[in-house]
Amino acid sequence: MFGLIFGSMLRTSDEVLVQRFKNGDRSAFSELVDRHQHRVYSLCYRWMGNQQAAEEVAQDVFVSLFRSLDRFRGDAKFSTWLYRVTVNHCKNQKLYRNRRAHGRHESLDSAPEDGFVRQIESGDRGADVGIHKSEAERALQSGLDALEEDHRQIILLRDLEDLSYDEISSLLNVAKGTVKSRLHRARTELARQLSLRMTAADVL
Amino acid sequence: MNAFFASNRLSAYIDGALSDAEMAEVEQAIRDNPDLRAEYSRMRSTVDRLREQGPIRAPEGFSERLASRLALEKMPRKHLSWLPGPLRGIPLEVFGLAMAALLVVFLIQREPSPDPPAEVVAQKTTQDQKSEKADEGKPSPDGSVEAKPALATTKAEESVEDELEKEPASRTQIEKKKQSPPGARPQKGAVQPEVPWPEGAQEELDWEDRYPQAGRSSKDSAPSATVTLGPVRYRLYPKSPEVLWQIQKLAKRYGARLMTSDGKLAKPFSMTTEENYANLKLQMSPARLEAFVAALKALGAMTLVEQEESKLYSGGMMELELEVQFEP
Repeated sequence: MFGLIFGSMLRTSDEVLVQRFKNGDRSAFSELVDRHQHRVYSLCYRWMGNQQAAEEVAQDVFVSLFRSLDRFRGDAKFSTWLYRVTVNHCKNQKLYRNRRAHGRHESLDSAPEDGFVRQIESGDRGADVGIHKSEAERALQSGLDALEEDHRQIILLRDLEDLSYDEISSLLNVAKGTVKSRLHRARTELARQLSLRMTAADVL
Repeated sequence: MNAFFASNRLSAYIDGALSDAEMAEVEQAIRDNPDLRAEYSRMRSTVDRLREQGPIRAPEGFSERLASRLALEKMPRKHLSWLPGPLRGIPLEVFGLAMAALLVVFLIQREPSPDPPAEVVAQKTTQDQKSEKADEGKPSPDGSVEAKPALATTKAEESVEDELEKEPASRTQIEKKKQSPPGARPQKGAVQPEVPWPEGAQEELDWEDRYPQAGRSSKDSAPSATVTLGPVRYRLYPKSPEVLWQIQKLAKRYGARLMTSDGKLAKPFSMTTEENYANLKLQMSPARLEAFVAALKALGAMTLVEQEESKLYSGGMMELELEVQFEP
């Protein structure tokens, strides 16, 4: 107990590590990676929906962070800033992959195995299936994928990453009231999506 | 609280983000309304399922793979490290604006040249060019085309003009202080007045074609025997108080350098009964002296005060002293 308390007291803050990195200490960045890699990866995984894309985006996030950390001014908490960078990377990658997938679909529209190809690409997980997920988890991920981006984003931040309303408000640059109302709509929609999937599973 | 309002607060109710009174009201509505209870139950289980997931751990080897990528990255250059600590946080845009503002202040601080504004000069120059162009190629009464007045300045003359324009403003300021009592001269940045050109001056200015040596540079023709080499001193009794502006214009046209008697750059001003005397020096090509003097005569009565033996100054220039005596 005391060890835990002393440990947290002695633990260097993110901001101190950032400052050390700015002063040229490369190892400080490694410490930041160790500290935040799981949360970043988790958010990327939830957003992108598969392990390979999640790792790719998470690594890009840290590389981008490495290049731009000297511009972090400490106006917000480091973790909030990191989440913002992660969310932006995820959004961009998702958009890019969707466009690419859409282009491929169009070029394959006339192919006889179109339905099969489409199924593989829209599933987009292939070998990952079974790595992280149980059946319920897959249904949940599928429900999340069906949400609008704004709704998926706010659920990930609130219910999976456990950020407070204030943190989400700061991260997304929206009013706290907007966070509340958007979260309500997102949860209502996700509940509807899950009930649809549960009903379909029962029928099968 | 009715079911609609309670329904809209279910999410915040689950998070405990309502006031105590609202929490109690929503709780009561859930208890009283079966539909609302079912809706709450669905949302509660959805949130619970999400929260059960917990964070997903990064796969094995994630940090090693990342480290190998980062090994290729150079440490970022220290951002504005040469600035003092508190200034480093300033955004680049703000920093750029501040630098631009400083530059503007610096430029404003510099003494602006009392030369007339560019548009006035441009207007004058255009007028001059028009009159010159009109003169060019104009057939003479005998049918032959008039020789083009050799007013085109050589490179050497252009450099003289450039020097005139580039003369440091501070020098002008000192000179103005020495020469004029307060109020007698145009103030700093004064605009050159629109100078009425004396009647007959144009004819006089166009006289060069009568003098073969006029307008030729000293490079392409040696001074003719009729040209007197300086120093030569004239006195001019001008018709107009704006005579100094006119002399400056003529000097520029003839490639002469207009200076005060103590060798500083002369800046023109409008003469008054109080400031009615100016002693000027001009350095110019001997080949143009006669033409220049003839042009000056259009501005008023001129008398020759003194003429020394022929003497050339450095660069083949000669010196003309001009006493301007304005008596309205």
